[in-house]
Amino acid sequence: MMDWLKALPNLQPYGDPQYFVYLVVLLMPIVIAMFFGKRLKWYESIISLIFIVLMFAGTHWQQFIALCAYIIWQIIIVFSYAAYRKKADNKWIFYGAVFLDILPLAIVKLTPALTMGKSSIIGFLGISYLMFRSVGMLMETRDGVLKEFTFNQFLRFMLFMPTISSGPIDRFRRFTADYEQVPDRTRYLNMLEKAVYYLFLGFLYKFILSYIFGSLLLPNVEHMALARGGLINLPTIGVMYVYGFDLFFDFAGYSLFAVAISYIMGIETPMNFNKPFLAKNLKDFWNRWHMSLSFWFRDFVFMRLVMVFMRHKIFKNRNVTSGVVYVLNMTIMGFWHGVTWYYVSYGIFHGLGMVINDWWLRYKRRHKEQLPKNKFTEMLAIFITFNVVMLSFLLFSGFLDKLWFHNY
Amino acid sequence: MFKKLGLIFGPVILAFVLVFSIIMLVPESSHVKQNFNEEQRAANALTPTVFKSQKLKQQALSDAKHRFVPFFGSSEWNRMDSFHPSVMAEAYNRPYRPFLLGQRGAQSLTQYFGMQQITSQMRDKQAVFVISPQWFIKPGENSDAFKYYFNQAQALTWLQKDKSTTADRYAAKRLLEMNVSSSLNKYLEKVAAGKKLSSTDLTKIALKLRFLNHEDTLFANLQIGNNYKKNILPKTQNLPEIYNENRLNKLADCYAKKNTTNNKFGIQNTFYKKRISAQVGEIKGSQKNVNYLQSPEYGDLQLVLQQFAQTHTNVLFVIQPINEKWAKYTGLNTHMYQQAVGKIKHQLTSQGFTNIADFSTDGNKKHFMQDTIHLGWRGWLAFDKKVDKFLTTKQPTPVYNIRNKYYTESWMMNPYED
Repeated sequence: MMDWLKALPNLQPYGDPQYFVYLVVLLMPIVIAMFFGKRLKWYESIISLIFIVLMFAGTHWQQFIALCAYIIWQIIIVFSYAAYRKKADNKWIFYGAVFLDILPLAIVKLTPALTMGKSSIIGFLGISYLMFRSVGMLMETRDGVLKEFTFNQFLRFMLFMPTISSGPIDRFRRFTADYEQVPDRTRYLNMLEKAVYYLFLGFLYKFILSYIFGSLLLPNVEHMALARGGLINLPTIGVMYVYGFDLFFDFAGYSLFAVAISYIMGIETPMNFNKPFLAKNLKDFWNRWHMSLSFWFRDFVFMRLVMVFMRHKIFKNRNVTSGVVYVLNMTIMGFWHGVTWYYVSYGIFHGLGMVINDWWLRYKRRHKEQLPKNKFTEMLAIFITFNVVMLSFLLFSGFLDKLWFHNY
Repeated sequence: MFKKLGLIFGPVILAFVLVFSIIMLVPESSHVKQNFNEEQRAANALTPTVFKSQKLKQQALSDAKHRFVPFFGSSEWNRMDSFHPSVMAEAYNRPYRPFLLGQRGAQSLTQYFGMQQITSQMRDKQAVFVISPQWFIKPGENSDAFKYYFNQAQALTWLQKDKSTTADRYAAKRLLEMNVSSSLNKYLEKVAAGKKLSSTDLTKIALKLRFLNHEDTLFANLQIGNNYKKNILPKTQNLPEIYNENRLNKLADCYAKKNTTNNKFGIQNTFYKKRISAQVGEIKGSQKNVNYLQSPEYGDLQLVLQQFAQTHTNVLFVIQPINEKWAKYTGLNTHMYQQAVGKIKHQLTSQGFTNIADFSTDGNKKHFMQDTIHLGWRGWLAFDKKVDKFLTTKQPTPVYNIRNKYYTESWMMNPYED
C-alpha cells in the first residue's frame, strides 16, 4: 500500500543545494502573489504537503505514517481540551491533557534507553517540535488567552513546512496573526531582503563552516583523542571547541534557512540565535542560544513551576525557589535531548550553572562599589562564559561516552 | 519598487552568472599543458582528490614525453619505504613511472569507476593491478569507503557509454547498492533494468558532466602536500647507484631488521605500536571465521576485467600475500585463503589474463611483508622485478575472452572447488 511512498525520492530539509533550487522554483508563485498583496492559501498547503511527503519518502516511509498518527492524536487532545475549557477548568483535566500530549514523545525518547538503542516506531523527524507547539497551545488555552481556532489554522501552524523538522518554535497566536494578515509591499520587500541575506549567511554557516568543522576537522581530532585515550587529553580539548563550533554553525545555519523561507512565505518566524558566543553570562547565553526553545522552556516550564512553588510556599526564600526550578527546568531540557547520561548531565550542568550565575549576579548587585566594571572585565566575562558553554557542549556531544566507555 | 527588487535579487543573479561563466570559461582537461613535476606530484599524492580528478589523471597518463603507467591497488601504495615501486622507478631512471591509484578501502568497484575517466589513456597500453584477497569478504566493498573515492563525474562518464550489456546492468545495480546520490538513481534504475536512457537523459548527463569537468579543471591544481618531494625523491638516496639485486636484497634485510624489533610477527615497529599492540590479546584467533570465497567482489573484479578487455589494456595482476605468522596468530584459514587465490586466478586465466605475479605463497619469507597484509622491503623488491620486466620488455598481445557467467550469483557466492 505504501509502495508509492517508498518509490519517491527522499528530500531532507535544506540537506543539499539542490533542495533550494526546488524550493525557490515552487515558492515563486507565492512570492509573486505576496508582492501583489495576496496569499495563495491552497497553493501553500499543496507545496507544504509535497515537501513534507518527500521529507519522509523512500526509506523513511514509516515515519510518514507515524507523523499522520501523531497529528491525529494531537488533534484529538487539543480540540477536546479546548472544547472542555469553554465549560470548566479543572486542573487535573489540564494535567491529563498535557500528559497525553507529551506521552508519545516520552515513549520515543525512552525507547532507545530501554531497548539498547533501538528507535521507536512511533517516532519521526521533528516530533518534539510538534509537541512544543501543541503543548504551548494547551497552556494558552488553559490561561484563557487562546479561545477560538479552526481546524485549518491548527494544521497550518503544526505543519508549517519551513520549520517542521527542527523549529524555530513559533507560537500559535503570533503565527496565525502573521498568516491572516498579508504584509504590505514595503514590508514584504524588507522581508525578502532579509530572507536573501539569511539564506546566504546560512549557506556560509551550514555548507562551508559547518563542513569545515564537522566533516573535515572533527573526525581527525576525535581520532587523535581516541588514540590517546585516558580520562582527558589535549586533543579532547580540541574536540570540545571543534564540536562546539560545528554545533553552532550547523544549527544556526539550519535555523537561518527556516527563518528565511518563512519570511518568503510572509511569516516572521522568530530568530533562533543571536551571537551566542558573545554572551556575558549563562543567563545571557540562553537568551541568545536556541532562543525559541529556551523561551518556550522559560514560559511554559520555568515560570509555571515557579508559580506552583510560590503558591504552595514550598520554599520560604525566593532565591531558593528559582534555584531549584532552574535545575529542574534544565534537567527536563536535558532529558528532552535524550535519555543518556551525557544529555542529562548537560542539563544538570546548565541548571547548576544558572544557580551559580544567579548567585553571582546578586553578589555583584550588593557589591556594586567594590567590583570593577570596564571593558576588560566584560571581555573576561565573555571569555569565561564561552569556555563554560564549550565545556557543556563537550558533555552534550557524547564524545566523552566514546572516550571513557566505548574506546577500543 | 522595482529598484528595490533589483537591489535584492540583482547581486544573487549576478553571482550565479559569474560563478557559472568562470567555471565554463576554463578550458576542459584535454588542452592543458604538461608539467612533469605536477604530474609526479599527482602520481604519488594518494589522495581522493587525485583519484577523483579526471584532469590530473589524464594529464599525466597522456604525457607523450613521460610514460606514466596506472598502478591500480589500495593501501599497499602507502607503504612508501625505500623499495616502493615509485622510488625504484625514480632511482633507476626506468622508462616508466607509476601513477598510484587507490588507497585504503579502495577495491575493484572503486577502481572500475575511476577507470571510466581514463579509458582513452588506457587503450592499448599497459597497467598493473594489485589484488588483495582481503577484499573478497561477504559484504563486498564498504559503501562509505566507496563514496570516499567516488564522484558524480565518474558515473556520468560511465552512463554516457552505457550499452545495456550484462556488465552495465551489474555495475548499475552495484552503484545503487552503494547508495551514492539520489540524483543519479533514476538513470541507474533504468540501466539496471536494462532500459535505454532517453535522449533527454543523455543531454542532461552531458550538460552536467561538462560542468563538473570544467570545475575539475579549475580546482584540480589546488593540491595540498607533495608526497613526491617528501617521500619518494629523498629515498632514492638510500639505494645503490647501480641496480644490483644482491646489494639491494642485503640493504632490504638491513632496513627490515632495524625496523622489526618490537614484535614476533616481523611487522614494522611503528605499525605494530600504533595499530596492534594495544589489542594484541583480542586479535588472537579473531580471523577464524573469515571467508574470502563468497563475495560480490568477484563480480566487481569482473567489471574491471571487462574494462581492460574493452580498452585492450595489457595488465600485470599482482596477488598480495598475507604475513604467515600473523595469519597463524589470528587463526586465518590458510587453506581457504589459497582456495580464494585459486578462484581469483581461475577467473583471470580463463578469460586470457595470464600475466599474474602471484606472491600468495610468499607470506612466510623473511622481510617480505612490511606488516600484516602489505608488501615491504624484500616484497617490494620482488614486486619491482616482475613489474619492471613486464613494463620494459616486449609482451605478446593478450587475447581476452570475456564471459558473463562471472557476474552470476552462482559464481560469486558459491565456494570454489578446484
